[in-house]
Amino acid sequence: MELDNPQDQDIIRLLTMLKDVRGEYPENLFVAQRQSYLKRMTEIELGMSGDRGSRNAAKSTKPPGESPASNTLLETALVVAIAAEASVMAFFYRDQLADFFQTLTTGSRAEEVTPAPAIPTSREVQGISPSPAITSTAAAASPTGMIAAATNTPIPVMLGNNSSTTTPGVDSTPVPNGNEGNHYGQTPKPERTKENSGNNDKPPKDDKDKPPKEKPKKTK
Amino acid sequence: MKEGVALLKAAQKLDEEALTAIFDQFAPAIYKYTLRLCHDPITADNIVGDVFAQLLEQFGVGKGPRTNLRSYLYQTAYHLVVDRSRDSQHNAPLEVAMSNFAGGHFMPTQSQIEERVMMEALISAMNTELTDDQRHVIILRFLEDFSLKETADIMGKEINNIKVIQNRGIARLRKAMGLQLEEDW
Repeated sequence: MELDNPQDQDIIRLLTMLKDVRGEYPENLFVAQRQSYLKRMTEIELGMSGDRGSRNAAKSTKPPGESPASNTLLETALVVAIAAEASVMAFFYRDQLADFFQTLTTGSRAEEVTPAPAIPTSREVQGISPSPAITSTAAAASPTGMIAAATNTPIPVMLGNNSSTTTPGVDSTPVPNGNEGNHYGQTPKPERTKENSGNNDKPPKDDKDKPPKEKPKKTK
Repeated sequence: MKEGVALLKAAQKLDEEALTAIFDQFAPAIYKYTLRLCHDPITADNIVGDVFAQLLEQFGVGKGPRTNLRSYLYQTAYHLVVDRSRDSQHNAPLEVAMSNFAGGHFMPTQSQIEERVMMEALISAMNTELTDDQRHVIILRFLEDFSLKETADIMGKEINNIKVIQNRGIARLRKAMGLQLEEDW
């Protein structure tokens, strides 16, 4: 107890005697409390068994008398039946299926061929033949090659080397009058058709309303 | 009848026999302990009901005590008593225990009379001189025979703290008993 004082031992002896003092549970209170406890216990047990029952019901959705071997056999039979039905349907509709696949394959060919003739036309329109590097890119006829040919600055070479690739019926800009260098000032000036007297425009500035630029000299 | 760990394990599985045995074994002790703390038989009875209701609920959700059922029950009772004392501040003396102690019909000897006077003085000192913590520690340690560790677990305190509270409580009782006995004589 770790109590050094001998008087403490007397206190502890008295406390121990107090332990024997009767403070028993009154019979009527004990019986009532016990009944309430048993009732609550039954409720909780019923709740637990209800939960267990619902879990078992969820587990036991399979029909009785079914084994894993029969499950496997049934699954295999189903797969075989589906495969057989698919093959029969393919046999009956073989013409439609063949047309469908043919359409798919021809469609993809057209996509491959289409961009090829557009490349030399752009070269002829500009009147410039591409450099050997650009020509080889154009021959590959890929969309990226086309973009590269259009954006790259061509090396100016006189037309005539690739005359076999020209396409008739395409509009072209006029040949620049033998001067391939500076074309500054050759653009025709547009004619003015309207007078600048609309309501929305600002009125012409009048010099009369402006204040004089020069400051008046101060007179002493 | 199952005992100890087997009883506890059976109760965790909501075994009806085990749960009934637990009530029969511990309900009177919990009542006695609660009565010492709150001094009211009805309140003590209600606390007993709450203690065992909580125990059932804990077992029902798969929780509850794993090792020391007795400590767990006393701990629950202690918390309920503390909660109720905070609510009501009810602090009646221990007449209930004393009246039970004096209930027998016999002619007391001189030593028995002296002993009874001492007991009355002790109960009075416990009710008036001790703090709540000191009273709880002394009841758990000397009237319910819990160890220091069990008392610390029940009250949620450190063992050293329980030792200090116990020593201070004993010292106060000794002082109060000395004064009271001097007044009586």
